[in-house]
Amino acid sequence: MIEITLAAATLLFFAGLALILLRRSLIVWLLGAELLFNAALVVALAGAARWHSPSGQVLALFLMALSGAALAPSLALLLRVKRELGTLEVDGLRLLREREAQDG
Amino acid sequence: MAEWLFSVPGFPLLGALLNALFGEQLGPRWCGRLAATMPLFSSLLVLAFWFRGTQPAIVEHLWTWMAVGDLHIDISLRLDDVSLVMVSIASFVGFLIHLFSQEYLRGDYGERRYYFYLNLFVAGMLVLVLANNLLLLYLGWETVGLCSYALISHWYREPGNAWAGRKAFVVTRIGDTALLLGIFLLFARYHTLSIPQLLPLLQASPAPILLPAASLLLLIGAYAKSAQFPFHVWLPDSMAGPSTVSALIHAATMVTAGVYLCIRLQGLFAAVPGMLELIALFGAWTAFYAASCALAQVDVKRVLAYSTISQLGYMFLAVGIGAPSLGLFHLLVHGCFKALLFLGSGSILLIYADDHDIRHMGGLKSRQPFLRWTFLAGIFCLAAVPLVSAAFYSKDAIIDASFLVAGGGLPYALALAGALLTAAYAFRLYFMIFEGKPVELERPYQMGWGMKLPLAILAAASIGIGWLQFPPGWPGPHLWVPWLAPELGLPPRPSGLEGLLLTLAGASVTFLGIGIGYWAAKRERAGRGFSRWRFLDTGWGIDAAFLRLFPAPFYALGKFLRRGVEEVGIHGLAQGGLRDVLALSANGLARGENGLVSRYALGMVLGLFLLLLLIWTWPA
Amino acid sequence: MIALGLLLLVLLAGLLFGVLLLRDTLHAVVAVAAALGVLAILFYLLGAPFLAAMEILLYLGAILVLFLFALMLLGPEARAASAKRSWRRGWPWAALVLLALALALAALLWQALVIDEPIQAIAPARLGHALFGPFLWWSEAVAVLLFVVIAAVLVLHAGEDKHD
Repeated sequence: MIEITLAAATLLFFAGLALILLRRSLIVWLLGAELLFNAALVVALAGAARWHSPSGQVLALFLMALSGAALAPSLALLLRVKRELGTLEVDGLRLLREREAQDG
Repeated sequence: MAEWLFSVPGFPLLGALLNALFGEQLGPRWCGRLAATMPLFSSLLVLAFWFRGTQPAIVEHLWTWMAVGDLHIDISLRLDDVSLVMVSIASFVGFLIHLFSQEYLRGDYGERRYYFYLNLFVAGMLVLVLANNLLLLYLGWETVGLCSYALISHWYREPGNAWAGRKAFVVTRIGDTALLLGIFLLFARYHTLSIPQLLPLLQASPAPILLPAASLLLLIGAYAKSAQFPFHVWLPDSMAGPSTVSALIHAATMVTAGVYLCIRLQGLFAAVPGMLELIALFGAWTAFYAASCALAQVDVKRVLAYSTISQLGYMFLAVGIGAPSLGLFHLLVHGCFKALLFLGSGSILLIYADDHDIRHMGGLKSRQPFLRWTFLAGIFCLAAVPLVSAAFYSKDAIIDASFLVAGGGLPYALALAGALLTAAYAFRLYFMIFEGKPVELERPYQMGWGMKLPLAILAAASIGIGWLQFPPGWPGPHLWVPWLAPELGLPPRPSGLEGLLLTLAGASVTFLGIGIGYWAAKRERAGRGFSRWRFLDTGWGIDAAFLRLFPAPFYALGKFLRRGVEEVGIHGLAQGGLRDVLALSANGLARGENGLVSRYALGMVLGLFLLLLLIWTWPA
Repeated sequence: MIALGLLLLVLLAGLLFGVLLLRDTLHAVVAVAAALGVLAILFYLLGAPFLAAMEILLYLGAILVLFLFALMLLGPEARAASAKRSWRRGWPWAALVLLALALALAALLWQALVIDEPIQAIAPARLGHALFGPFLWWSEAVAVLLFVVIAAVLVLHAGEDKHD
């Protein structure tokens, strides 16, 4: 059972990474980040089941809270990005690069 | 009582700190007053220690500085007879000079900076002489070197002054490096740097090659600091600083640090065969050499500078012949009269509106009687006029003692010749400044009591301090030598007929010198004086030789490094090549993707992959 | 038990694959929601009933709802319908790296994955004891963090009403 859990965690991890690396939309990017958080959560739970310790579940709970806490400002920033930059693509976040001088 | 020992260097250090923090609010005048009270407090404390006596020696352990394996260095101060003499000089003469500076530097630029460095200097010197281990001594040594540089370059707006400060610093740095190397060698062999522990150790088991090497290095350090031949080249140029600085640093304190080191570590030098004879010979030679140069100088302060070099030579001579207590005696006497002469020269410079040339001076005795008599007291002492000057009892004792020591023939001859020249240049200086036709002065200058008091005190000391130790067989106090005998042993002293003849020889040399000085002053005024002897005027050409010998290869090496190594090697090959390689790969990568955030993310994942690969393939 | 777990795994894989390929963002969010629901069942099977409930309540009920709100506020172009505009430029390279990573992970973890341990459910009461016992200060810290997040979001949108 626990192996299955770990396999599920791996699937979630790769799905999240794929969303981050391969998709163009920023919202989907954030979704990928959520999936990554979930992967960590699942591993924590696997640990809790393995060692019969509530500490793992506490960790999982905190991870949930943390992912929510990370998401809220990210979405708020996303709205700002839409307003200021006019685009919702990952590649749109290139202002820093544009301002860099041509270095050799 | 012992727990207050740290305040002796602590007061001037506190003064420097307060100056640094609150000097802006205090203003230069109050900075000066604050700075002057600090060595006064130290002097009062030292006075208390005199009453308490130094048997047994006071040791105050403050805290542990470093403790690593074998190396155990404490901040630990030790007050014994020798250090008591040194701290007395440093604090009391230091106080007098601070007092003199109040009037002397009033209204000048950089007052606050001056007092900061002056206080810090006194603190450093006190740490140096109170230090119980060689590393703490080195700390004080470096501090006084730094402050000396800062104070010589005090009037930094003249580039020549800054150059002089740099020259002093660089030359003493050579000595400091040698000193440090010597300390390293000693520690490597004997595993302790605490002076009371080190000396018995190395006397019990002297290392055959290492100990002479270490003692030679330490001697070089002492020579550079005390401006002995051939490291003396910085002292005449350091006269670019204010005269009060010269009085403190180049008369009473910093240059005596080398002598102090030799007295302290006398056991070390005694354990090396031939070392003491070397020190004696070099000391006598330096005394003679510098006196010959002083005879040709026309800058009032340069005469005094060469004079300092010469007198320090006598102190080293004393150490070399096994009479360190006489050397310490002369150190004390010299501190008084040389400081007096430098302070006096400061007044003279104020009077003559900063013209240093003695050929433009004359006849000051009628305008400035107070200055004349105090200066004359100093000159008497410099020339070691019999009976009424302190140096007669100290310097002549050294010269007489050198006659008695085996192999002392050459040092005796050099020292005696040096004494002749000393009396000559001393009185040449006096006659040119104070006698003769008065020179017209635009602005008459009168000293205030703040300047007169130190001069008076130092003049009294220059005359009277010698009465602490009359030659053996003479009626009068014999305090000094017996008091120091437990620490420094008994010096060889002539007695009976031999003593009388030697004393007569010394006295006649002095009087002969006075005559020569008078004659030399007359010739100088007529334009045919010793100053025309280029050889003497430039210090036998040593300084010029050094300037040609040492900087040129150094600059050549620098040039080679700049062109050859840095431009071609580093910029061209390494940086350029690396830059091109990076650019190639960066362009290659950039074709794959060109979004900023995703590049980072991909980089992270790539890194993760490589990391896992590493873990997978790591040999277990 | 194991069979159910395997079934859930397959379902999860399918849903996640769908998330990757669905072009409409809204559809992707719904797919993620379904995947998280599957996870909730998995949690229950793992003996963490409290966390299963929390997954539904917090993740599906709050976090994904946040996503939906954001999608709503961003307007119709956030849903990105065309195929060309779904994938990032240069995605083959990234896919390659991901594949390499997957292979490396698989190679590493293949042997280590046999864990034989019976599952015991951990009652919510025990969890509660842990949260308010040894992890009390952590809980408080997380609460403070959430408060700070609220403040941050408010600050980020402080001047917005004037423009709309």
